[in-house]
Amino acid sequence: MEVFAQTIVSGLLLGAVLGLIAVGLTLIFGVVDIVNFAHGEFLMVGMYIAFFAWRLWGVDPLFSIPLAALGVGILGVISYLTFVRHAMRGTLLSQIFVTFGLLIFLRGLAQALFSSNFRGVQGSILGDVGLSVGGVSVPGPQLAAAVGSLIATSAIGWFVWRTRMGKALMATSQDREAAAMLGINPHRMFALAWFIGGIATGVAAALIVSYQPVHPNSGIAYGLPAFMIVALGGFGSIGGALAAAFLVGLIENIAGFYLPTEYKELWIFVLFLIVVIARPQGLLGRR
Amino acid sequence: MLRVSDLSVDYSGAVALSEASLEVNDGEVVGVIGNNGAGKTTLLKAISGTVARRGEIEMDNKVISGLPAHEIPAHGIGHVPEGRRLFPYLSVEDNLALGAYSQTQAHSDDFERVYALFPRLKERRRQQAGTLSGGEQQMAAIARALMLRPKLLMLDEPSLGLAPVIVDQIYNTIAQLGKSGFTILLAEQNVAECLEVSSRAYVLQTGSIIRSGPSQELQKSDAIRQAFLGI
Amino acid sequence: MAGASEVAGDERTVERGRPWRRQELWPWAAFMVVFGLMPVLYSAPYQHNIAVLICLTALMATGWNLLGGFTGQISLGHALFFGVGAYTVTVGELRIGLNPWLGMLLGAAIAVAVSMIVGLPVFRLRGHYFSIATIAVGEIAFLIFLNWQFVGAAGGLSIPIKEDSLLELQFSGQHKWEYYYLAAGLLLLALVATQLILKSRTGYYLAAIREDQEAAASVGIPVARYKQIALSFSAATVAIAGAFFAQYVLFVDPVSVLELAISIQITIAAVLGGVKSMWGPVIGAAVLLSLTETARLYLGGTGEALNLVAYGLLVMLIAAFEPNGLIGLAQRFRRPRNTRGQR
Ligand SMILES: Nc1ncnc2c1ncn2[C@@H]1O[C@H](COP(=O)(O)OP(=O)(O)O)[C@@H](O)[C@H]1O
Ligand SMILES: [Mg+2]
Repeated sequence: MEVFAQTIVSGLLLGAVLGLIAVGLTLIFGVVDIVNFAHGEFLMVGMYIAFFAWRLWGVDPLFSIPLAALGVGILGVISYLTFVRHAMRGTLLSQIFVTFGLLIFLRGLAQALFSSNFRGVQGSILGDVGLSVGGVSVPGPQLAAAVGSLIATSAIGWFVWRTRMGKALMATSQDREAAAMLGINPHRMFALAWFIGGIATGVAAALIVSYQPVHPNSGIAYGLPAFMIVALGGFGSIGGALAAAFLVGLIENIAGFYLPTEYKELWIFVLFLIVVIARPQGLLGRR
Repeated sequence: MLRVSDLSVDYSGAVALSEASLEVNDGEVVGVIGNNGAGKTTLLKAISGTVARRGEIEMDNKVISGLPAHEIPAHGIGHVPEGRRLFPYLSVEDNLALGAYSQTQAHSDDFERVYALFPRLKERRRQQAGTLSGGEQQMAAIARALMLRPKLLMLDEPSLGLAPVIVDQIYNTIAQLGKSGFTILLAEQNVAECLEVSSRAYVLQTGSIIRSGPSQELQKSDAIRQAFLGI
Repeated sequence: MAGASEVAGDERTVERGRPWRRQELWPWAAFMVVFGLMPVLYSAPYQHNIAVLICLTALMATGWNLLGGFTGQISLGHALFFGVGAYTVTVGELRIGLNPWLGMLLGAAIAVAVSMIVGLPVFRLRGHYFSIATIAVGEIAFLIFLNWQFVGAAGGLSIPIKEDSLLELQFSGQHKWEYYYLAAGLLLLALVATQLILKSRTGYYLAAIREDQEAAASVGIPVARYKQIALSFSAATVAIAGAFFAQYVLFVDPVSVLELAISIQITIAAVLGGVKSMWGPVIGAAVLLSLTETARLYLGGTGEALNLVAYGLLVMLIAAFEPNGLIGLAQRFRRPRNTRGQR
């Protein structure tokens, strides 16, 4: 029973972080109609930013959240302005490969600049903190990451559903042309989507870097599930992405415990295929 | 107010609008009639900049034909597109609020004004726009464009797909708007209704304006009656 | 949009069944010359490696391109078929002493069978969904092989070294040009097969499907069947490349044949060279590997990373500005004025 509770807790902790990453991804897709295959690499960039803030200036990752967020947000905008903008007008192939190119580019850059070594933050503020409730242990960094992710996700939700600019963003994702007819500049909205998608990822990066080592390929572990989550939740659906993220977090932990551990990631892909084939618009998708 | 000269549009080679010229004066309700595929939608979209176009469009003596779509509303043109095109997952109220996006600030009395015109919308303001009935959606689409305080309101087939009773309601509203001094450009396949509310009209056929004149005259014309009214 | 597919269809109809034109013949001649001269170009010891890898990369990209480029179904899980080929040869040799050539054929056959199982579900999806579903399929295969003891799990399997022989498809020595000629021969076969498909009615159907599936279905093209045909051909070709690769390096493990990175690599050569032409993948592979090897040679480990940077940039540039790849770029220089409109 305790063990089961432990897997549930771990699943929820993971789900919260995946949720933030996936919300960024789904927001970009919803507005811009492009899957950012480099999303995991955005995360990796954010992790490097937070890592070096700690390494060079001794700033705890918790305090470099704004820096990582801004850094990855700007990376998103630059990606949009330089290449994505042009590929949007192209074929599906262009739309897919522009961000694949970005993925390769960012990984190569990280490898060239920082080598393939694993680097980790040591002695972060939350390092030794942890809760233990009735036999269920909750490590501090993971808890902080989950709570921080939920706060950030809520902030994004507040922005897109409650502010004028956010509503304009949602309007653009639902009907680009009708939005333009009201004076909403689509290009500005596209850049904004990349900015917010980047911010979400940057926040997540700074949160997880206290317990996850960073290396040029460190984005895959989160990026790959994020694609599945976004498709599971229905491309462009923020609520769907969040729900699917918790589902994936739970399944990975529960399956990892009750079924052979080495296959724990397998079930996510299997679940994804089953759901998407039975319901191509995703769990909560409406397209 | 609006002057369009030699406006042309083609879709990857196929001509959809060919050198159309028209004019809309202050306070007029002007109709554009034509069969399905005649180019009515294309004409309105060319004016609002949502398709690539050639030719010149002037609004209050300013040339706007070079502007991208999102800069057109600031010149006072509100476009109610074919098929309503509400933001289906936003509330009615949010849809209306976005109508005022090009205004520097949303005026709270604008809400009251459009709610007075369409009381139904006030009841439904918290509902997702996609869950409204067809007639309600058409009202919301018109209301959204009105929030922009347009000098010129362009309506694209507001009666499309609606039950006759609802069509009457919508047309009553349009007539009412016209009487209260709004300038309206109305594209319709529903020729009878359109000629009823408009003072002048243009006839579009396969992308060209083939005729124009006072609506009353067009109503009487045998050619028009045969072509559009089935008489 | 019926219009679009009719236009595409007309183009194809004109091409179909016509005798060969001169413009169509010279690429074959160029191919023969360049690939014939490759051993002279890369004559130093161990340089045969680049030449072999160019052929294998071109082979898998050619296979991928029939589905991705000509049918418009962008698969990002083709490592699955590469892996099936590689593992079939290896396991066959190790467990039942299967001849590698037969193993290669068996690998292609299994890949076709697997493609039918995979095709059934994934072809119900379109666009981005299809691509992401193929990633999922590839990852499932990767994770299964990573933990499957029978096929060596994460540690992989080695093919025992034998006497040099064509029958056993093993050659030692410093130059190993035998591998090159065989790989080039396989590539030539794949190109001939591709050309025949493209010139047949099947090629015309595939183009119609790429332009617009609904329109293709509405004029009576059995869309599902033809997508499966393209996938099967594609799977078999990539599996043959995989089988040859395993036999060439005499080792197979999940990371080197089944990872997502392999799936990406399979596609990149085609995208780089240009997916609208059957020569795109060949040109892409040649450019890609020459660059890679040069970078490795002069810059070592950093070179590998910088090489990634360069080719990431190249892929972005192509996607954003020249969707027809290097071939499109070349055509742009030949016809500087109106290429944009002709895209
Ligand atoms: N997006 C498009 N692509 C290609 N052709 C189009 C497109 N939209 C409209 N057309 C064509 O342009 C012509 C005019 O269409 P439209 O302006 O919608 O006419 P109407 O609104 O009068 O029914 C028609 O022949 C139609 O088929
Ligand atoms: Mg129309």
